[in-house]
Amino acid sequence: MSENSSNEFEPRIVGFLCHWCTYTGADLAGTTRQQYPAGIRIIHLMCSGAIDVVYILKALLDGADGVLVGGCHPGDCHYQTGNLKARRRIALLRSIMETLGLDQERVWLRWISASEGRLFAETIREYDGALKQQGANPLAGEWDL
Amino acid sequence: MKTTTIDLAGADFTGGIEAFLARLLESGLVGSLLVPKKTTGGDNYVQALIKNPALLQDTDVSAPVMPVHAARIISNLTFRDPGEKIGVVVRPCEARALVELVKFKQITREALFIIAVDCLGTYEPKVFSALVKAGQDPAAELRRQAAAGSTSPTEGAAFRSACEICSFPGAVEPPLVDLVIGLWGVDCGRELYFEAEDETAALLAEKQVLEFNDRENSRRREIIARLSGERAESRDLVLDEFSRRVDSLKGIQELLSTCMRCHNCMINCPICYCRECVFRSPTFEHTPDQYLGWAGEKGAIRMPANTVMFHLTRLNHMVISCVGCGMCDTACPNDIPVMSLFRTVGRKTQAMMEYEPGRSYDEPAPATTFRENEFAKEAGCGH
Repeated sequence: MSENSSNEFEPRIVGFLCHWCTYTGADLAGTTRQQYPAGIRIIHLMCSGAIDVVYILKALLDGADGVLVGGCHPGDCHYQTGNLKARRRIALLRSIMETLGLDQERVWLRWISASEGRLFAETIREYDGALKQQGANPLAGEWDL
Repeated sequence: MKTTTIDLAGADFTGGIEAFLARLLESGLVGSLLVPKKTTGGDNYVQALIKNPALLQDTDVSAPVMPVHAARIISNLTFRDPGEKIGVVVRPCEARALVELVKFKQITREALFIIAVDCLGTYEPKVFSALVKAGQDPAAELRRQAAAGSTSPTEGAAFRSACEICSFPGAVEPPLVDLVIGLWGVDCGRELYFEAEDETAALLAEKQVLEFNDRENSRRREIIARLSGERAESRDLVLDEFSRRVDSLKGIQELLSTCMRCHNCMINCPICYCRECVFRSPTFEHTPDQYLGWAGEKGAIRMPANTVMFHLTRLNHMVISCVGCGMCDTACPNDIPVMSLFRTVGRKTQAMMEYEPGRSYDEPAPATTFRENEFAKEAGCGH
């Protein structure tokens, strides 16, 4: 787990962001100089509906503290309904995680549009804060997975 | 719905069914039949695709063994229209998986004449083999018991764990299937029992395959309803207990401790239909430096890698359509209770999506559809 100079736990978040909305929103957050925690690693997807759970699970089992899937607001999907299919898939994943005693709050789905740079920064700050409360992902220390 | 009770007039059960299947084949209503047939070795029944009526000999629709799930075979036969009708004999879990595979466009419903049969329980293939080698006739014994309303395994043997908690003892009904062969409450030593929708019954009568005399067996329905309730109760008990076993990371690690990632559970699962599983694709062909990198990151990694991830991913991909047939248990070389894991997770997710696999051809598979306002909280969308 990476730690900063003050030894405070800095959560590592893997962000799967859709090209048309959230990725562009993240870009806007940068160009408008919004401040947000540096622990997010962004992976660029064409659509939140393109996410397969295998990638989310890979991130979590390899020790990411949180996974954020970002897509267009309902009704705004560039491919009409990819985000709504992603919502079902992630609801299913989180339900399965809950049944098996895995922390479902390590997966969030958020709608952030291309114009919502400020919301993107706020969301990362919010998730970072929540993950600091939860502590490091216990799977990070597990070899037997 | 039309019903019929046919007097065997001295013939035995398998002989009577063979004669019926031969008439079905000769009528031209089907061009071939997929039926469980005794192997040359004599201690197993496998699916046989039969064209020649003479080779219906040694078939038994009530054989209490399921070495391969028929829905998988039916998918191989009808993923494209085969150009003729194939008659298939399916037990309840096979019929329900068949319905799911039709939705996934892996089975052509129009190419099938589906004969659903009551299920009296099944033995693991090795158990069935041992019983036969000890001189027993497990199928005849269970048919005899079923007439009285319940079945239990031969002393010293056990049914497959999936069968013990299966709440679908009765054949899947028309119009999901074309014809039902009833066994529960039927005196199979003297008579055969069938049900079909009016149109199918008329066609079978016209082609002189089967007469429908409206002699209904009302006991059969009562027995199935009672057994279904009893099994649902034991299912809930078993799964409640099992869910406590897997409600933590440690529990999952203990469960999968002996997994060697052979993929047998996936290969034998009727619902896992992908021609190329992601776990057998280049996505999971890692380079040496990747493995070493991960080992460096964590200090050590289990090899073969991604064992827990394999099972978690498979749960996510197909548990919604899991019919609880237990082929995963049968296939596991190390006796990991995969079926219990899938049913424990499945009962919750299926309830969440208001979905019951095998219930209808028309309900879309949950992953292929959505509602406009749903699952915001469940998906972690915040408030």
